[in-house]
Amino acid sequence: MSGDKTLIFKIILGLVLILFSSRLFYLQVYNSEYRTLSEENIVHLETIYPSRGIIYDRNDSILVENRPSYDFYIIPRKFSLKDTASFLNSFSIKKYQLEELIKKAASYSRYRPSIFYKDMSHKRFAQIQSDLYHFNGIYHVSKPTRYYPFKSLSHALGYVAEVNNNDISSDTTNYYRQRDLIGKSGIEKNFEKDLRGNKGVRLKIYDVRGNESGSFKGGVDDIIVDNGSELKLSIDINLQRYIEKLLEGKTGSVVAIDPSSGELLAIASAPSYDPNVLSGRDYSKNYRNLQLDTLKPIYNRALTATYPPGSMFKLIQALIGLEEDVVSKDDQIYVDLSRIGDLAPAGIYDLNKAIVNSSNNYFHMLFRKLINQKRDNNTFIDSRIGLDRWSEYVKKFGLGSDLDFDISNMSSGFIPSSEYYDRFYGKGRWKFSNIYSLSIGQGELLVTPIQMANFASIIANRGYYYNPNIVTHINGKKISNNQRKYLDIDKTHFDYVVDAMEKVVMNGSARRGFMKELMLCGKTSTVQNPHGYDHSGFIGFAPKNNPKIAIAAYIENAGWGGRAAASISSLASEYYIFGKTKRNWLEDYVLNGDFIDEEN
Amino acid sequence: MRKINISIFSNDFIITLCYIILVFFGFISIYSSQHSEDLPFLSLKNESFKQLIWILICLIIFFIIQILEYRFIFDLAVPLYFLSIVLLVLVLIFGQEVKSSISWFNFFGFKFQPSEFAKFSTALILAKVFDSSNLKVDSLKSLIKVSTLILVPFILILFQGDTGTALVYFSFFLVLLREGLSLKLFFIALSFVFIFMMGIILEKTILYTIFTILFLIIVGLSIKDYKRIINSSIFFVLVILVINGQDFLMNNVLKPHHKKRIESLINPNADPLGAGWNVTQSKIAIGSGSFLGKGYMEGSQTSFNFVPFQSTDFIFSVIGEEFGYFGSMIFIILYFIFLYRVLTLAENQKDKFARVFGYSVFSIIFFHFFINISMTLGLFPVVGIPLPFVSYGGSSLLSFSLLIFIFLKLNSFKPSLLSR
Repeated sequence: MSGDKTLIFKIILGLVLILFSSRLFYLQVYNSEYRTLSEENIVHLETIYPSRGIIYDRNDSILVENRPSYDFYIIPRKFSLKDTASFLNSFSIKKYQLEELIKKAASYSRYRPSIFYKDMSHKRFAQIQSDLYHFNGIYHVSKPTRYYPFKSLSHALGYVAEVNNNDISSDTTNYYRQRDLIGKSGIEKNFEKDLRGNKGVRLKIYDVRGNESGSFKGGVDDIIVDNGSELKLSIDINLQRYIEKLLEGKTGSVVAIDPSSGELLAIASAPSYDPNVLSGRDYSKNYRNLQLDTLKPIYNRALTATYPPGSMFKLIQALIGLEEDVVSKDDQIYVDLSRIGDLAPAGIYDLNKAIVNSSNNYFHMLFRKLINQKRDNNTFIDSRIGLDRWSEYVKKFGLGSDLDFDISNMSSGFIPSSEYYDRFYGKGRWKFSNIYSLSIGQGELLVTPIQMANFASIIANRGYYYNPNIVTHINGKKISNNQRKYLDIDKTHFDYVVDAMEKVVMNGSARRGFMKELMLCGKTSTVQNPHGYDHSGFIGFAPKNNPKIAIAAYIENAGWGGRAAASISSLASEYYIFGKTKRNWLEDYVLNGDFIDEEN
Repeated sequence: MRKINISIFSNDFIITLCYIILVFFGFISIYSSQHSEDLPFLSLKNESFKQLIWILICLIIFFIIQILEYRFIFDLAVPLYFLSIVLLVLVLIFGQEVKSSISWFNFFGFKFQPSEFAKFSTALILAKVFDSSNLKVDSLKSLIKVSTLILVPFILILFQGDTGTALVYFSFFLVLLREGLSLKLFFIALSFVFIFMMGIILEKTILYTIFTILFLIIVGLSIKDYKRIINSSIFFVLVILVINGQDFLMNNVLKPHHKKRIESLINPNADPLGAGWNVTQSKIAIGSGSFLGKGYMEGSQTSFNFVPFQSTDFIFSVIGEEFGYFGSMIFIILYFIFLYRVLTLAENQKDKFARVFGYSVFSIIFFHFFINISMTLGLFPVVGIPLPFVSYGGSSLLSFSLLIFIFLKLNSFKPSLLSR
């Protein structure tokens, strides 16, 4: 053992101590450069907010764009005013309010910036801009705010708002900070990643007076902001606005689809709201008001309201009946009125006539043949087999499914299964007589307006559909077209049903919507509503050959389907195909909105 | 009859006191860096609250270690070492990627970093190996034997992409310095590391030229000294191998993000908004503290998140800014008293196991302290290793505390050792 074994380590320790204390002395005491850098000549890390993606309609009209708004921050230690009155005036606050704000900011920190005033409009900012120079210790950050020039399509577009704690904690990419904006519903939410872009960073130097004096290191360290992607929608904003106009004062929704692609042409829900009220300074107040409204204007009925389909469901029954071969196109039978309430008279019916007159008793009989095909001698088991087979057919029409739509949280509706009735009545304890309401689209069946529009599109195409979609292009790039979905139901069956639908409009329940050049085919529903007046429903497409538009309408508490729903659908189809409407009398009828009191 | 000594007062008073003050310093600094309008203290998102929970966990562990038997720690060395190797392998497969390095396990939201734990178990295995075989690092064979124990976890951690933590394993060579490693060999090894690093910045041809000239000068100066010519020839060949090996490693073994990491370690300007930005802001924060500091919770440089990773790797910038030169020096001197005390206590151990372990504790903590403060002061590239006891982070607080607690336990056991 020679000498102190720890010597080398003690020498190292000593050297490091000298190194650290002299380096600290240099940084903190000797060299005043860093002090001034920190206190006065601040390098600010300024976040550059990407401009959120602009949204266009199918004809390149701008539906959503950005307007700047301004947030103001205060640093209490630096805050001083030459002219208090002009300051108070600029922010339209009272003196005591200012004192409170300063006190609150200072209690957080005298050195750190606190938010002082949020979301000043660009207009107001321009007015006070020249005075800002005199306000020491006040800094502003501009950020883009959503603006909706058409005040239309509110539900589908959705809205953006500041992130809340949930948004931040569920964000695994750690992108969002307090006060960032995020899409909260509709397309704004579902295409958030595309629309938002990525924040940039700019390093700026501020001089002694707090004025910007240039960029740090000539801007080499800045992160370039990545602006959001542009979206192009399949919506025709003119059609959309026309439908919204027709829906004014009513409750309900209309969905129009281009059957050749599944692209949505219009999706309207009424009552609606001006999307601009959910953007900007009064967001929370306005949002609360919309929430409290008993008519629920913020609720997107086109995607989330569920109704029984009513008589339009007879089309599906007819198609299943033909495909299952329980009825053939020439069969004629006598129908009395003994089974179920009916507005159609008794008489000799074939399937075509039953659709045109919407005979409830005919479809009661048809549905019984579908359910009880004598596959088992036990009528309970037979009903069960029949129902399961039937509901598989119904699901082929896209009912009970969210159709993989671009906007999530849409309702799937409800197709009752045998398990459902097992729970309700007990296993083996229900048969046809318990479920006959399904024959005319009532009972437990629930569908959404967009599902019915898709159904209209299936008939228009005579047997196939594309999943409905609303966003067609991202940054000019077409989103890959989705696949044709065939129902495996014979095309001739569809042709037969279409002929009947043409008659429904020509001289049946929807004759109010007839127009020779339009060649509208459709079917009305008068949906029984235990809570008030019946709902008025209609599905249809036009023209009969080479259809351009498939449409579904539900107008709540508006009575007969042949009135409100058929008229609105007919007008909307005319408007879309011809670019204008000639039938002013029908428009007036719809806008007037007295669908109940009139009697025929 | 052997007495189980569980009195806290039998522990070294200076180390215990320093430990408590350092942890306290850490907590209040994390609290200050986390202080914000929108974040309540009693929230699992608030790092200062989580740190408090970890401190309490450490307290419990302290008492558990107090009642452990000496033999138990001794016997645990081998299984713990193999356990940590297994964990290091598993984390490569099942680990969670955080900031592009895969070094974390995630158990129900609580994150665990095996590489922190491996430091502790490597220290134990070294102590055990030196103790049981009465080893001395004076031959190449023994050096290779000991180095293997150190380099296996080192390489595994390097594969995780956590270069900073991997570097810490070099601190074990300080222990070898005490246990017989010749100073000359140590510096030769150090110079190879240096050449390796140079190879990343400079062109290979430049390096070849420099070393060929150096070699020729040495040969020219020692014409008659054959031994020196042979030695320097061997050295020259090794240098060439290192330069080429570096190239091979960079291009064939390491992935692009590992490569970038090593490059930015050597040259922080390669990643100006990451590493370079941190250092600039850290220097401004510390510099603005002046002599007396801005006062607790009044540091302005955290606004707009000026210093990133402020609660973890750059925690010293909070101390520098808010307590000034005066407070920083108190903190630094406190740390030196602590390290000095660990060093002298380690040397005083009669038991070789305790001594080697003590030196490991000293080396690990010193290395972290030196690198961390250096990078905060802009003296060393940013490698992202924490300041022991002070930085936010459960795994790191736990592993450093474990090192100290075990060492205190070994130290307090000294009297009864005579009666073994």
